[in-house]
Amino acid sequence: MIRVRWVVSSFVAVLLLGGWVARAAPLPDSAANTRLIVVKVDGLPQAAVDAYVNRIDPRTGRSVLPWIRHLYYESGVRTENFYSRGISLSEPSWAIIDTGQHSLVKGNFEADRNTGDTVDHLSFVGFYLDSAKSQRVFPPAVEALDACRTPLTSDAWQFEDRETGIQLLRRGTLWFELFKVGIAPASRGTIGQRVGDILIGVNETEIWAKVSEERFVEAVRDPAVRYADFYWPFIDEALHDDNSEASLRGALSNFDRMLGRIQQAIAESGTAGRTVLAVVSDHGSTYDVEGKYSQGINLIGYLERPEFGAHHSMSRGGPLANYELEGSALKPFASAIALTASRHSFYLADRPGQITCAMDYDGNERAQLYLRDPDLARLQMLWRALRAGKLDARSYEVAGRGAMAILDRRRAGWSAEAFELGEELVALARRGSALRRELAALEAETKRARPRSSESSAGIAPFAGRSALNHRDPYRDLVDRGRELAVEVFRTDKLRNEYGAFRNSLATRSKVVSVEAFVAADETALFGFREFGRTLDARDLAAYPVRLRDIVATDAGALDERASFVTVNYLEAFTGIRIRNSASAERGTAPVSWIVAEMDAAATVAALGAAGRHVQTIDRAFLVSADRDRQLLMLYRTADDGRQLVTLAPISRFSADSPTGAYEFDLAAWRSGLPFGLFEDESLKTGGQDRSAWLSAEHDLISWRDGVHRTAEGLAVVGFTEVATTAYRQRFDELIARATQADDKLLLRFERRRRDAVATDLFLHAAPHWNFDLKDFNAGGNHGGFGRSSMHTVFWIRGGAQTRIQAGPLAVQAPYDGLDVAPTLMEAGGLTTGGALTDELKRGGFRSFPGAIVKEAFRP
Amino acid sequence: MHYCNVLPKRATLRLVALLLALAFVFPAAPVFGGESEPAAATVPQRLVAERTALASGAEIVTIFGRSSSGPDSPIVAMLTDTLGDEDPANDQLRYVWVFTYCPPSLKQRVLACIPFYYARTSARIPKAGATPPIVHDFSRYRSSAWKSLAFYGAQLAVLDPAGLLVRAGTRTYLRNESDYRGAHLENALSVIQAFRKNPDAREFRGPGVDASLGQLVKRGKVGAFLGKDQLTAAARKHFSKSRKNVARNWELLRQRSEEEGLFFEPIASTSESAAHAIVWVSADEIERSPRKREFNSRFLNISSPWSDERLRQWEGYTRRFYIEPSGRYSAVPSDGSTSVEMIPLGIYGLDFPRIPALLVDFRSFFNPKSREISGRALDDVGRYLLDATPFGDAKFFVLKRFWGIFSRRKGIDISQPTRATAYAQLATMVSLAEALDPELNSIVNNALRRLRTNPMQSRWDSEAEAARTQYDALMAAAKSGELDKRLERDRAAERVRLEHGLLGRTLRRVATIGSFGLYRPKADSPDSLERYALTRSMRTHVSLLEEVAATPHPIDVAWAPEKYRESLDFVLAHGELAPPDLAPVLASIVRGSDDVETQVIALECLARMKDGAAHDQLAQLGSSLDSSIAVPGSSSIAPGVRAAQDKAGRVPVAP
Repeated sequence: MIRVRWVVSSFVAVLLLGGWVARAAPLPDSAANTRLIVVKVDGLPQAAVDAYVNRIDPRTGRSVLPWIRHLYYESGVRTENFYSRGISLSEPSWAIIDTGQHSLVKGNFEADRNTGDTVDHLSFVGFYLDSAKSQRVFPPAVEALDACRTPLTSDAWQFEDRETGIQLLRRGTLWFELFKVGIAPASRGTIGQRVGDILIGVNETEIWAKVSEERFVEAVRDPAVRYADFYWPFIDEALHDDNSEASLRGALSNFDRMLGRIQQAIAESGTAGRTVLAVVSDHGSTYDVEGKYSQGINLIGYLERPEFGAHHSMSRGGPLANYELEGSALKPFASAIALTASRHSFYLADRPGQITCAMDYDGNERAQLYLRDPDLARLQMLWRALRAGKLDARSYEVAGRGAMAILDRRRAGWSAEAFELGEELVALARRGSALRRELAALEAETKRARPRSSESSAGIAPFAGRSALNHRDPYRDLVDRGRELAVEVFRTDKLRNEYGAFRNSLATRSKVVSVEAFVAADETALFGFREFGRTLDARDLAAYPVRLRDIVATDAGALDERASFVTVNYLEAFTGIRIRNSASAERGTAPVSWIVAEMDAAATVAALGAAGRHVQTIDRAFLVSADRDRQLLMLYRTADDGRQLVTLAPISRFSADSPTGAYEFDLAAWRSGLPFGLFEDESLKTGGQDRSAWLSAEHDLISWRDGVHRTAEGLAVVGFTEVATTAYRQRFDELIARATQADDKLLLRFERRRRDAVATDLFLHAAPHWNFDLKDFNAGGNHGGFGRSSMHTVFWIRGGAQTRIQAGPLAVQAPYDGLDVAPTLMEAGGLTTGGALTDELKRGGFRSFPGAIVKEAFRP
Repeated sequence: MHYCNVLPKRATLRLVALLLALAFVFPAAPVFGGESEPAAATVPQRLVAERTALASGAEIVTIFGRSSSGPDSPIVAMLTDTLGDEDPANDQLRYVWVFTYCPPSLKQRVLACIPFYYARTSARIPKAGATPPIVHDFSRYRSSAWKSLAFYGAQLAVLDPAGLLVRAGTRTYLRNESDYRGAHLENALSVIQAFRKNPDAREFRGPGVDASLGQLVKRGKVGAFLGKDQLTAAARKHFSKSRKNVARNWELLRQRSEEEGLFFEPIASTSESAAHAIVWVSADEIERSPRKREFNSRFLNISSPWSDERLRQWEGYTRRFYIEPSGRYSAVPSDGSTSVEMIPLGIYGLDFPRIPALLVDFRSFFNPKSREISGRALDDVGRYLLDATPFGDAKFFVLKRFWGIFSRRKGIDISQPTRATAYAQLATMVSLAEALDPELNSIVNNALRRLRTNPMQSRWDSEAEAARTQYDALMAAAKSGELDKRLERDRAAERVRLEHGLLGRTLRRVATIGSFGLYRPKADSPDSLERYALTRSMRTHVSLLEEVAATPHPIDVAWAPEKYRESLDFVLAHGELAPPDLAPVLASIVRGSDDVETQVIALECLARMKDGAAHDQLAQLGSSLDSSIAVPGSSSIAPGVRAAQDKAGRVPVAP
């Protein structure tokens, strides 16, 4: 009932939001009243702009991209070397750009290793459906950021002073805009135009662009709006579909004209003097300038094969999803998550819902793999063998001992985890009750606070309201807080159920103390259908168990795990794929260029020592492998001043085969052909130092970026570091330390656990002009990887005379990346001075930015 | 005699069953024989243009497909009416000829009326000297569309109720005719689009060309409702969709071939990009593979090569390919490569919605044919056997629609759109004998001959001959003045529309018909001829100014004033011919340009236009412009403006 009421109330609130926004009075022109207009364009490669901006169109006598040229080449500031931070993928990249904080969102698709719950960050329809059902009020990525108390840049302005367009990371929904998109074909133009538009086929993309642009332009024209942003996804779409010149040039021209209309709107608003117009993109694109196609492989198809483990897989959409009924007119609301059961499954043929692998990929240049805890796999194989009744007595005994050995070595960890989770779930239950009480109280308060036209209420100070939307209007604050609370109640209950089941699974396993109890236990109680368990390291991936070959005993009568299980070496399996049908010799036949897997830090130090290189300590280590002879170690250490230091070390023949499980590898010299291709890349800047010496030395990330940013693939050093970063843990630790209530600490610990749970096990990087196709085929351009063309994108900024932005034209040569956008925009928008956050902003959750302000853009 | 419109149920069902069986059976007859020959490297097609001037002031541009082994083959020609002057603004695209399109013979037309008749007829070569028909007339687009609409109305109101025979006959004829013409027009479109990249293609790159090509895309009834912008959008959407289809199907077919152990070879053609591909299988791999080797035919739509005994004893055509040390298949040898004999399995058209369309199955000629006719057969069964109508038998049409959505979504190659265009493109390529080696070319030629499903189609080899014959006839007509006469008639009709309203034109026609041709309207005066030319030019200039005015302000960012000054000067000189809706365009230019001279001329244009809309715009401008600009008729003229006018040698225009 509460839910129905809140649905109605929220609907009314949305209508009100759409049509009636209380704006502050127009502010005088001055730097303190700077307006910030941000155009967020998805997937704009700087190289593509450079290729066209200097070309003159003989028809017009001006540049092919006249507005870009006028605004940012003949004036304004552009950063010539601006890159994605982390992988060149939309959701993670925008999360960094929109917050200025290190990567929290790790991919476009995330799976919770504990519960199997998945999130598709790109599922716009999914989010709106959830919103309609009052199951979400913000997209999943914003929820994750809120859990970590990480605000979006746009949150810095009060709701009534800002206008944010439909985009991946945004607070709230815009139902009214969707409605306008739906009726637009029948409501615009003359009757003849409308009939004609319907006859030639409604172009939803164009209509979407028009409707959302109209709203944005209206906001730009309104002098009272101090922050407005607009998301433009059409260049990325055009490049993916077909990278012909006609397609790219058409998409760029449309974008250019749109910029012109924005600039016109700024002029018409009368606030040009105090307005900053910024353009930023999340990533570039790797495409063939001659229009040759990118080639794809179907990774799920490989994972189904026996030689790859015959996995039952879970992914977003799934291979050839656009050729299945789900998502079509016949099944419009089917789940976007695809479960692909392998026909060749070795031990789960009768249990297709038992997922052993999940893939985060989206038809681009990288994929990240989740694999089930190998101990869970071994246990389940042993359980089935023991239950099947086909083992002789000796084998039964050995198998039983093997199962108990696994249970015994994991028992403590599972018990501890179950216990901690138990505490957190109790706190969650209490939180749920508190939320319900708060909701009831808020409902009553909202009724009492309903505004009457004769009254005017005092506005709420920034960040002093209850809603995350930072309202000035007290009534709207209450209404939106009510919606948020209702969703919080729902999500709390959902998490309790999901994690409750996970906890039960942990507890069940940790309580099994005999073979009899193990064999008698229910399979689902022991092994959750989508429970993945802990993250894997290189040792696990080098010998991942996929099938029980035989029950082989050691001399001592224990189960010989190495001999009993058939394993797959994932460190070599994917890089060993060869494709016969490759369109050109330059593309080669190896679609997977290299993989990355985490290593145990202590074991890595020991192995380095055994190989003759002694290192004192490292925090983390990763293996980058193209094949057995071309491998790198990435070694991380935190300096005393908090800077992250990275060392690369070429190695070969990595193995974890030894009976003790120790790593073994040979140290190698720097040479051509290694992953990232740094040694042979002429664009590597070593400051005059010997190439090998520079590459072997320890550098911080700024130095790495400065040295490698012009190389073909060297940004992988910085990019992968961002992918793997656990900086969010420090944030949670700080919040836990600051929390005064025990339950708050537990709930924060729970959220940290959930963030930890989306970590993947194996990172796959495609070779240039190859991709891992998903629902359909991306024969045009692709991104997601660390190639410079995919990482190199745009960040341009210009400002009126009363702003602090240089008039230009200025092309900044120093490299910058996505972490540097938020501090720069906040400085440009007049919210910070010299990067210093005001108390107000700190109250809103803003904290110091790890990135830098693009200082060159500002007047001295 | 009373014709019963409803067949007895059982007979209906038997006939349906028989048809379906015929439609979907796959006879095992091998298609081809021949010995293997060393591979000839495939060579990209080249398109070249030839220009022929007409005495009356027009130019025919003929696009040829270049063949290194024979004469160039004419594909399509377009006539641009230049009025014989040097002003490109009054040029107008007029006619399109597609040389492979032969007007059907009487026999073909009769056979085309027969439902369920899915075969071609014998060779049809047009008579030498017979001028080829104009396949599309750009200036009659809207009237043709209205005629189509009117005929459609007549079909529904008069012909359909006239009985099953009449209904079936007329509808089948219209469908066959539309498919036949459409296939050739689509092929011509793809050739024109490919040719536009050629540096020599100046006629095809102007601003209005997309709108003209949009007419070819949106033929038929819908054309009555489409404006210039929509036609432009339709053309761009068509080409974009085509590129996307090719890109997607390329990848789909390549990956499916890889997954099934086959080899994918794209074939260059006359389209923008390789729109066809051949799938091969290695003879060695056939030998090595067990007969029960798994084969998933989804999207390939051919039977398993592994279990086909014919391939294990293959003596038909093979071609040598090479396996590089990396394992990559290649058509050319390289260091360390080993050779392998490949057997062709199928040719696919990639410019097809959703899936690659199987055009030639080298082991079963009926396979692609049955897929092609499946959609038509389903339609014919419903309409003529079950006698279903959209409103009377909604269930059938709902089920058909459901099947359509289902099969399209799943990519099932049954009841898909016609692949006639893909065939036409393949036929063009084959006739040029460039893309495939001679023996394979001949084999494909034979296959294509048997694959025609439309009685109006002729044999492939006869189409090539027909193309040459029709081209020669067209050139003869150009030389003899026949085309000039046609052109002049069309121009005269346009001048009449310009000079006279509907009533005037009707009276003239009545007078001519009533007097049995004795009454002939006076020949057009020089003024009228000049007005006609100027009106055509005005259209071009107005179109350019509309484009300029739609640009974000300030206009000078995106348009150098000198690039549209000529259009403003033209409007200034001939303002009386300007349409009223030019007024807001000019006003927008005044507001949007920072160039004083441009503003002054635009204002003067408004003053020159003799209609209320222009005066209203002037009045609005007078109150909104700052004082540095003089609105004609206003008493204040800033020195800067006066200077600009003096520099331009202009005298301020009086209202």
